[in-house]
Amino acid sequence: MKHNEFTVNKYDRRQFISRSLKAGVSIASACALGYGFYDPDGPKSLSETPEVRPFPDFSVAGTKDRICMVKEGDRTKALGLAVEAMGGVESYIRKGDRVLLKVNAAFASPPILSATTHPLLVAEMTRLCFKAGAREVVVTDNPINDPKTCFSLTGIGKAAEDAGAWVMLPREVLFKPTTVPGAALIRNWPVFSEPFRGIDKVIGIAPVKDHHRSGASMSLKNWYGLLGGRRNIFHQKIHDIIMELSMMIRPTLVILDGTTTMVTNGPTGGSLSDLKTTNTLIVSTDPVAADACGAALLGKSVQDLPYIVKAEAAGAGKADYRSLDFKSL
Amino acid sequence: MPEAKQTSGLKETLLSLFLLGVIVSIGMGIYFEQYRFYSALIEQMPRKIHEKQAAPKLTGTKDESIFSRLPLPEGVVFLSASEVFDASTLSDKINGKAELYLGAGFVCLETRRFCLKGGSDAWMEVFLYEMKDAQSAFAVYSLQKRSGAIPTDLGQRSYQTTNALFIVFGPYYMELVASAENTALQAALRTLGQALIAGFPVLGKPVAEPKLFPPEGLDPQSIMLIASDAFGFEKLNKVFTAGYRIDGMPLTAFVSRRSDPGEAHALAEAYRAFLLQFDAESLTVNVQPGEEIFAFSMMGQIEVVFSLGPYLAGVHQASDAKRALDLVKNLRDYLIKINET
Repeated sequence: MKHNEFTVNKYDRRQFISRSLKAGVSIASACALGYGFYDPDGPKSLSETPEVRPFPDFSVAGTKDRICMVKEGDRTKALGLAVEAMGGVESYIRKGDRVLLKVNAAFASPPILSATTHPLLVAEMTRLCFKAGAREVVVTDNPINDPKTCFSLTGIGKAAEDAGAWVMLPREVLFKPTTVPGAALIRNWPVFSEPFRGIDKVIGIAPVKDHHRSGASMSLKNWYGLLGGRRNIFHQKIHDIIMELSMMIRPTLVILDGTTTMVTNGPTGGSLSDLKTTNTLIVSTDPVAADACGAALLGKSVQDLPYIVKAEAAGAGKADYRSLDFKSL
Repeated sequence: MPEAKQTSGLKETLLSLFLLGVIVSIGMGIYFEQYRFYSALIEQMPRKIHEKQAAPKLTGTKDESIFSRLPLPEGVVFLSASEVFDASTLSDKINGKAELYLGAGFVCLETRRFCLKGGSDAWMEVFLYEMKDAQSAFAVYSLQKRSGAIPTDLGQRSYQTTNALFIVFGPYYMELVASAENTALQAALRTLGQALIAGFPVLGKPVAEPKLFPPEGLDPQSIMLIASDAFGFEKLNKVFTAGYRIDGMPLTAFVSRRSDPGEAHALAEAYRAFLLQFDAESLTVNVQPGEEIFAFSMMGQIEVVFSLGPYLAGVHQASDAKRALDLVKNLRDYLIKINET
């Protein structure tokens, strides 16, 4: 009988059992190998070692627990008075320092809507930093809207550059995977951390605003702008994410602008009728205290804003700002 | 019986080697690619997938955008290109306020900036929201209504402030915001608003529920629609509220039209049970035969609820029981009158 290429195999029982056993062992080995490679937890990191707490502590020794509230409608003047009352800018900025100003440039909206950091504060703080001998001032944020448009229409970009600061716009390469120790949400999450490389001092500058989700947007919520990726998913756990951000970064100073407070329809506002003239500027080395103090401008208490309570419990600062070295001008 | 030797030809050998080569290449590809895993990219994948889905009704491409089709009023020019946001990207534009729109039935948003020809640095931005229906549009319009605003005659309902104009028409809600406070910009906002409304010839009827509130003591500008979770009760949706001032005292009445009388009655019972769950104290109400009105005192405030035909109605957080019950009586009589007509 002729077979084309293959011959028909005829096996006896012994051969059949032997071959069946070999096939079974091969299949079992393949399965065992696959199981060995199986990782029930899935991939854990972007790189071999996730970056843990990329931000050093930017606070200055000996300046802890300082807060100053100035009742003054002129932002430039108010900032000067507050910084002076807190020991002068030289207490925080040393000669040769590289300073980063984290502004709130979230929206491409004009300064009169008070949805973003006021350019006058950016200009004045930059000037004060250079006066104290800063080598470089970097102004940055990762806005919600198109960054270039945001820095342009808010007036922040021009104010910063005119004052001699350098505006750093977000790019993909400037985000690094970050894990905040003890955090449940900021785990291996892209954070806008590269601008902080080589930075000696960090100052947050934020307006006081109503916020539809968190109740308020002030100094602590300002760090939300450092998150990359699809950060809007954190809106479901807004108080927890703000608390974790408070653990992530310890700034040199925060400046909370309540000259005009957005009391309704935040965080975007849109109408001048959403604003209330409150003529208050708060400067503090403790962002939790600054927010606790600023809450009153929104007619709210610390208990109305759970993220403040959580941030205090996480050790990020003290909500009882009057127990600090509190100055009121 | 000796085992017959299997033989294979050149073709089979080459084919086998080729297939083995493919398998080895795939294996090597997987091996090297695993080191490039980037969780942030994975997080962004759903968005990218979503972006490839069908374009929302409002726009899709720049040329199809409402703003591009709009005959620009004289003296107004485009300052930027149109931007379109769907449910997955809305927060990229309005951040924390996105939930307000998403909860009310958001479809999509188109925005664009304009400026005055030869004007100063001042500019305007128009936010055109397409909502699921007229009720959804009214909900986001009314929930953000600015106090002390001046009503205007644009659209089905509208008001203006010193730098902005807010209009609801059919399923659309529009915000026109100026970057400065001046009369030229105010006039331009109005012209732009008119031009946009003219671009939507068929809008359907405006929401009718505001007409369900009796006019005595009513502040017509205070009428709001709570799309969901009204008064903290998750089953209570599509609730219209209205502010009243009776004998100088502020009161809030509410009405919600349900699909049928059975649903309205069941919801009234459920709301009653919800209030009792929070230790509300039942109050005695003198009612006519056939009437069923539930009144409660809770943390020093009065809550009243009843159903009438397809309507669920009542008074919320009143500080005076007598005035609350008087308002409920007016509301009930008015609903009966409307039903008869």
